[in-house]
Amino acid sequence: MKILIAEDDTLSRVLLERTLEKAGYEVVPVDDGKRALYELQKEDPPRLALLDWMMPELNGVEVCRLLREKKEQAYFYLILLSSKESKQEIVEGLESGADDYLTKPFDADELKARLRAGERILQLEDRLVEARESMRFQATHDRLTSLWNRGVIVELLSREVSRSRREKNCTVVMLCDLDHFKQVNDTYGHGAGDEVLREVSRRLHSVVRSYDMVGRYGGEEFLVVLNKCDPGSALARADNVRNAVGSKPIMAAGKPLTVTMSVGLALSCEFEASGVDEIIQEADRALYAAKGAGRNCVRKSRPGTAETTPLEPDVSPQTPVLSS
Amino acid sequence: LLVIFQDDSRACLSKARAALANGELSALSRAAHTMKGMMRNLAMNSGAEIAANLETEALEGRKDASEQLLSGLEAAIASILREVEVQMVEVKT
Repeated sequence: MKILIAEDDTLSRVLLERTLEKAGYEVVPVDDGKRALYELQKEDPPRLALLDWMMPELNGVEVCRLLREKKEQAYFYLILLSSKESKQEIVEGLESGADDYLTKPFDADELKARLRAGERILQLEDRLVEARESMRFQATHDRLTSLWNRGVIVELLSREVSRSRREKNCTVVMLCDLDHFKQVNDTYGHGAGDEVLREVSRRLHSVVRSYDMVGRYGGEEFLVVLNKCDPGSALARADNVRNAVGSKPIMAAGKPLTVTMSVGLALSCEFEASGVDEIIQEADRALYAAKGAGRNCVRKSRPGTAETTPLEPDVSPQTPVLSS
Repeated sequence: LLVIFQDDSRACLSKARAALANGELSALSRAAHTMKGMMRNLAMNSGAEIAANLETEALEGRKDASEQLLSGLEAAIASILREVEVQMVEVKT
């Protein structure tokens, strides 16, 4: 584990360095408070630090204070090192944000034991951060596919639509639904159905740009959001997405299954007065039309009418295939 | 460590002397603090004691007492350094 030693007295620093290197630490030595602060704010900094109280530039107490002012960072375990021994000084040191206090000259065994206590605190922090991140992921992603979940994808779409209106560009909303997915479940079982959903998710993810968004909207429904999309190319982009799923079989239950997908399209720039829910409804209406046109195709909602535009040049509706 | 002590204690003493000559008692106190730490690390306890007293006296602005203590500290360090040199010659031979 990396440890920072900030000590201006060479002799004390060398003694500390030797003791800690022997104890297996990777030591980063500095001789003033300013450098200590610099080292602790670099990428991948030491998270354990031994700070001498009296140092040039910034003293140990000031380093503790400045570090604790910055909230958004990993926790540092800070031990102040000083020959100041009065209760008042120890209190001042701890109040500045130090976790522990050690008087000089240090006893090697005590120092190592206190550092181990610090490591336990840091490990605990790591575990808590990991648990928080995992819960954050679970709260925002679909468990089966790891795509954004419904609540989050709708929220992201809402932000994207607001932004595209401010910036006068267009967000494309695609509501995608697997054709005859129930048959996959009924014929090959739910395990195979899950494999199909996971593979479809992977394909959807791989066919859009890194800054586009894909979410699971329902059982076999997906919402794809393309940012800053040229309205003229929306249909072609949607057809790419459709094709990414249906163009080659998906291995599930040990068999290659051909699964197709229908896509309903709505463009935010064509529904300027509509809210996000209405835009999704428009995409849903287009999806319904795609299903009605024989599935495995794209339909786009047209503003001001109940009609939808087929993909141009028109792709003849294909009979959905479910083969093994 | 003794070589570091030889170099650093000399440098620190001359810093202390200069601080006293300029009437900068807080700088003198800081130099005494450093010497105190250095000597405690090497279990040079009587020298460390003088440095500790010098640190306090200088911090509290007592120039005469500081002057006396600094002379005492210089003598103590000079005797330690003589001893250190003897030891180092013995180690080499």
